[in-house]
Amino acid sequence: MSIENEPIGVSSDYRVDIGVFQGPLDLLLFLIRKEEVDIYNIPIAKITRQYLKYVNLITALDLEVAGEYILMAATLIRIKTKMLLPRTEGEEDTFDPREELIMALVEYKKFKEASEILRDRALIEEQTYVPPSPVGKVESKVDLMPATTLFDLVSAYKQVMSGVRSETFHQVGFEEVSIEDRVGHLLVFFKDKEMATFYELFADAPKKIVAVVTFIALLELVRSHRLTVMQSVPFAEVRVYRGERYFDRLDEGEAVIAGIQDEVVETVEEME
Amino acid sequence: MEHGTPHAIVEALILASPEPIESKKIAESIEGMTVAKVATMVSELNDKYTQGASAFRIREIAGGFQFHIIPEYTGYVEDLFTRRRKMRLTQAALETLAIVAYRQPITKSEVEHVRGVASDGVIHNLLEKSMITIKGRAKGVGKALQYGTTDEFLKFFGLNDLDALPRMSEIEELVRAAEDRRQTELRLENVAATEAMSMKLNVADGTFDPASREEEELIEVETEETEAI
Repeated sequence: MSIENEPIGVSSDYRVDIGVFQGPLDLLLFLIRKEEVDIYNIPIAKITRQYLKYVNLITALDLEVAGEYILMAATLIRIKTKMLLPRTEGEEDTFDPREELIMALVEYKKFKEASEILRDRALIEEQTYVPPSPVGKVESKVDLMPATTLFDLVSAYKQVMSGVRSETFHQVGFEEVSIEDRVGHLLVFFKDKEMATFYELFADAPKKIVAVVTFIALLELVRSHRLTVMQSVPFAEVRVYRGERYFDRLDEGEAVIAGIQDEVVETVEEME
Repeated sequence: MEHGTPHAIVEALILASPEPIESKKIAESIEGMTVAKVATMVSELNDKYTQGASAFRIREIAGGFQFHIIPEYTGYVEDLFTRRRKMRLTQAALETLAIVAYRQPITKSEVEHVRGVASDGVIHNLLEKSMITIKGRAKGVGKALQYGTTDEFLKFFGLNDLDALPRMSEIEELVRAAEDRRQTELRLENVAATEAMSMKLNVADGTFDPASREEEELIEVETEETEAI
């Protein structure tokens, strides 16, 4: 029963679909099941040999995902080496080089199990028929979703930015616009109206820098509860309302605003 | 049970709401109503529907009430109306969602640590599908974004809240039980093989030799394990 004779991906009638594995841990769990070994007492040499066979296939087929698999191969070999080395004195008897890997495998297995449960739930939910509301998906008078997220805001912001015309001529000028300006501008905007759409706030911002600063000012005002943002349903237009502290005096330091500015730039970058 | 006006109002609000409606919202719309009373009324309404053999019930999902047609009748509905196709989630997406659901708030690198693979794409996808959302920033170096599940997530999986998910300890139990069962089976096989081996030793004349194959295999497995790689 030599495993060398196993025709993994070699013969035409037995091909392994590499795409079915979610990563090295998934592949290892598959091999543990296939080889019928104990997850808490993995025969490293045997599993590593099997593992390398698959990894050779993966590297041949898809270099992009191969890195993670190769890293795990190195880990396996290091574990085996450690197990072969005689134990130095003073080292605990109970120390098992496999421990970390086993813990990771068991942890991953739990969530794999949980994902199966979720899959079943989704199927049951799909069988459940919810009749459409007679009122229909209209924008309700009351905003049902106060939990407008930063993601929603940044998405809306990106839409505004794509609408802002970029100037075709190059003239280096100095744009005098500060966050304080725009904060003041926004507060004045809401002086005699309680609500505005996100896009209305940017109607007077033909230049990119003005839109950017307006957005930062909006975030600052939302943070200090002087304005608040809502949606009626997910993906609906973001609407801006006066916040609970709208009438509070504006006396935040510049440092706070600068901090917010950095975070926004980071967030936008991360989301791209 | 009585069929006073408040019951009908509760019914009307739930029926008309395009999204699951919170009991708090219902309570606010009716004078002298409390959240607890709304819950009682909903269960009384459901009793009434059951008694009247109605095709629908009110259920609690994502923290709100909603009408739905009970499974016995969905078949008829689907025969008549084309099925709205729900989006399918990939295995990667399901795994990631499971991790986020149980560990939220959680950063991308923490997700990747559990999965053992890069997860930028799948996280971005889940964000776009509104299954997860940014919940804040982690303390420490880099202040990484933390993610959590949304009401959309609850609705997609038919959950009222996160407590409706099976406890992690139950899943651990499930995994351990499956592993134990597998190990017991393996041990039994080994015992059977050993017994057969000793039986062979007892049979001196060599006419009865049912275990020679297993014996060879056992030895081979042992040598394999001691081999260096």
